[in-house]
Amino acid sequence: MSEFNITETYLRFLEEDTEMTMPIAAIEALVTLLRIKTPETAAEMINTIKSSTEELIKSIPNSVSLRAGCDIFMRFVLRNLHLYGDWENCKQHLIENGQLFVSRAKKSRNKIAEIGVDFISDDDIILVHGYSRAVFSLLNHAANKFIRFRCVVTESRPSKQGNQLYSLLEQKGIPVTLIVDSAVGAVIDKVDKVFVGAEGVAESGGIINLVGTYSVGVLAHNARKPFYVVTESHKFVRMFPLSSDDLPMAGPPLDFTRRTDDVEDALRGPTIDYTAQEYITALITDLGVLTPSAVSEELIKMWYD
Amino acid sequence: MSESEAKSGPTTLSSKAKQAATAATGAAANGEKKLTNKELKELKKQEKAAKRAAMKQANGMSIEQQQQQAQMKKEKKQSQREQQQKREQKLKNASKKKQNERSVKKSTLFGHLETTEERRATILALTSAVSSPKTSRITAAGLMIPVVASALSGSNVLTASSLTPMGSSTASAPAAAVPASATAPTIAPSTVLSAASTSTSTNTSTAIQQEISSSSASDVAKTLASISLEAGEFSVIPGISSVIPTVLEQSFDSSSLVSSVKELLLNKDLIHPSILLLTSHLAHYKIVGSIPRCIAMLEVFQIVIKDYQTPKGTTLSRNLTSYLSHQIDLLKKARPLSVTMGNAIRWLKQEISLIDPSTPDKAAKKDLCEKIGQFAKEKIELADQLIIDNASTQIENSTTIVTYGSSKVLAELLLHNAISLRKDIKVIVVDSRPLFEGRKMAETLRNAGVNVMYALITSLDTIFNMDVDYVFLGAHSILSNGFLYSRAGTAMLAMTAKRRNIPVLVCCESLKFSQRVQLDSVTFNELADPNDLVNIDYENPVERRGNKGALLKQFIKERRSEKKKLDLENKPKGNKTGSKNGSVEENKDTSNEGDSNDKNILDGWQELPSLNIVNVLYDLTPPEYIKKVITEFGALPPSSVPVILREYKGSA
Repeated sequence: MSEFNITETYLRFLEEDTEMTMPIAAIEALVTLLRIKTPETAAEMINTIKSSTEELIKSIPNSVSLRAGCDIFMRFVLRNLHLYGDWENCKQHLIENGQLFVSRAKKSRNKIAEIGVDFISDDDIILVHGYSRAVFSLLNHAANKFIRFRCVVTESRPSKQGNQLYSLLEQKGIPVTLIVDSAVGAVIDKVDKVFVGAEGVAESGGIINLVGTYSVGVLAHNARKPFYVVTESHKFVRMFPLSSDDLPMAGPPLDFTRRTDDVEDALRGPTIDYTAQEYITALITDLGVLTPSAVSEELIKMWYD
Repeated sequence: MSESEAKSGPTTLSSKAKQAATAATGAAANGEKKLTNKELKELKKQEKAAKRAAMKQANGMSIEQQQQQAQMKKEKKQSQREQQQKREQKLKNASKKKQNERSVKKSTLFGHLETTEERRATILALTSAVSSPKTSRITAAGLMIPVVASALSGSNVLTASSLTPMGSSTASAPAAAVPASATAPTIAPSTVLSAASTSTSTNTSTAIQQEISSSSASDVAKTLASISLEAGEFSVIPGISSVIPTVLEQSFDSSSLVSSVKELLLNKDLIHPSILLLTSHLAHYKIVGSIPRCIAMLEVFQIVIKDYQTPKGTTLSRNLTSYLSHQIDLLKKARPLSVTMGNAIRWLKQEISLIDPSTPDKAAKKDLCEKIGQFAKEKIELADQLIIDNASTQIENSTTIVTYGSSKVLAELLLHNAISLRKDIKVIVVDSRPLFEGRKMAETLRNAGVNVMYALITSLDTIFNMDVDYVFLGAHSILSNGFLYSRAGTAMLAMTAKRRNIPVLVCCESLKFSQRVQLDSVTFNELADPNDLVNIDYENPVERRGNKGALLKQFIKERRSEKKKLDLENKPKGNKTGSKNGSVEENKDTSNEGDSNDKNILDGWQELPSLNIVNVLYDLTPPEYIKKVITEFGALPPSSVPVILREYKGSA
């Protein structure tokens, strides 16, 4: 490994471990970077991390949750740097703790499942939008506890993550039905609660997630159905979008340029959207069940102390 | 006894003449006669005195005995005069209280808040007391601040005439007694105060010369005179010219207020002159905006601390806090302290308490001054920079931004984006009566070449039809429950914006975060002068904040009513003097009033029953209307304010 490439490392981590989320992969990649590059001074280390983070964010189109991971690692590094007088010690500590952090983050999903299981009760019909490992682990956990509930899974275009979740739930033996995204409005009255995952949780408590989450959120809000976000706390990100068009995206949200190539799929448009905090009932995280406004508190605590 | 009567005769008469000037209007005509003959009488008096002295010597009385006798008489006279004065005052108070009950209005809803009139009266009392420290005292009758000793009374007429060019009145010397209470009181306080402020106690003529030469002293005098005028009723008792008691007793209907003023007066020797100056600036809205007010205060504190000397027997860390408390008590009287000022004071007091008692004073003082400077830099300058950096990411090219009123950090933000970052932004400055702060903002932005549109809040609905992208607001304070406490009208703007789904962003330093929780804008607010809502001075609304126009109007109104009274009571003479008084200035103002009479329907609102005018300065915007609060800690939802307060209790 003569030339270390942060993006490649990151992608390889994601490939190797399907259970791994983007922020964790990013942290893991950064820890690997530290191990390989062995920076000599604190300033050099900070600079290395900074530049690699930027490189990584630039190279990955959907960078929201990735950014959360990088932010957390950076914060972790900055906070720990001055604790040790001895530089070698410090570096060793950072690498070890970085890995500890990764393993802990992986466990957080189980914790979420334990915390969130109280939100699912017998005879519930649960609408799920998109495929989130956190949501699945929660549903899985509930099923293991012999809670009898049924699921409505949206197709979640354009990524079609819904199909994946559908088959997983089917295997688990949970009664499940697949609907198209545009049918959410038609079934929302029959649904008891809505669960979604998140790619990132913004400072306001709003979430950044797969496109369509916002519409589901608005429909749930309108039908007075509880809308729960199931997410790990390392996805909290120091961003504050006001609406979906504030999100970092590859192109403009609406592209009206005329197509030159004869591609079958004429679909264009954003792949993520932002759901504001007023549509969210609660966030089920490994820190506990939080109201949207508590996210900012956690972030502030994380960043300034 | 008859001798003493004879001797005191002329003097009492002459002093009575001046009393008449302010007190009984009926006596005014009398007074004039005596005053015009004054010089003659003076001569006669001297003649008589000489004769008497000669007679006494012939009777075998030594000069020493004579002097003793004279001294005794003098003292007797003095006490008599004081008694008489008290009686007169009581009478006047009784009659004025009745008047007052009708004329001074206070809205029941905002009854718990201090009115501008009360504040002004307090400041007047304090300022005059501080500038003449030797003569003020508290008597059983109330606050007595005899600003000028009776020694001055002899040349009072001269004072009046020499002061006329100062613009407060048009009376000429012989007529000084005739225009009665309208002119005389205005002159008297200014004389009195200027004399006091130049710290000459006896020689009036020189005092006045000094005063005229030193414009600053006359400025103080003028402003003070204007405040006393503004406070409505006043009276000056010649001899012991005490301006304050009547004003005080009329403006302060609550005893707690009076006692607080008394306490302040007791500690007046401690008050630093620079604090006094700042108080006057704040009270006259010369320094506005919570950040500029806080900066000004910190700067003055630096001076105060530099000049501070620890008294024997205490240490700096213990005594300085209480010393500063006295200064702050005075500052509070100008306007209620802004949240920024409160936070800065809390920080400063903590810093002082942390000083090691063993540090030498000089080092401690230097250290404190440096810390204050650093505090201002960190909490305001650098914070503003961070806020601007953060908010700039929100502003894209070709956006339309609505702002309200004036805010320092917002002006900087918009300039930074339009000039340094060359973004093509359009700013709509929304403004409101009666402060018209937005004009300043619009002017600043326009001068820098920003595309500005200026509109009043009444056209809000139309404004939001203009493809607005963001509403940026400044803040006076953000409360613990996320409510935004800002200039009245902000809530309206935020609600309208929310209705149209336009994001409302608030730029606010964390220094402005308040521990307070408030649910409505009634429990705590600041009342401004209700008269501001009555008179519309289209020419120069900002100038009007100094209340000069209002003062003049009130003055003229009073004088006119006084004249009417005179005309009724004393037709031939009253007419004559009335025409004499009607100088150029008055004519001009009559025409002005004639104009404004068409517009200002509410002019006599104090007399109208069942009409209250409320002019509040701030209102509360609920957090659901605010999308985000941009602070130096980054962008936060309004619900995170208590978190910041909790996490940074020590530093913020």
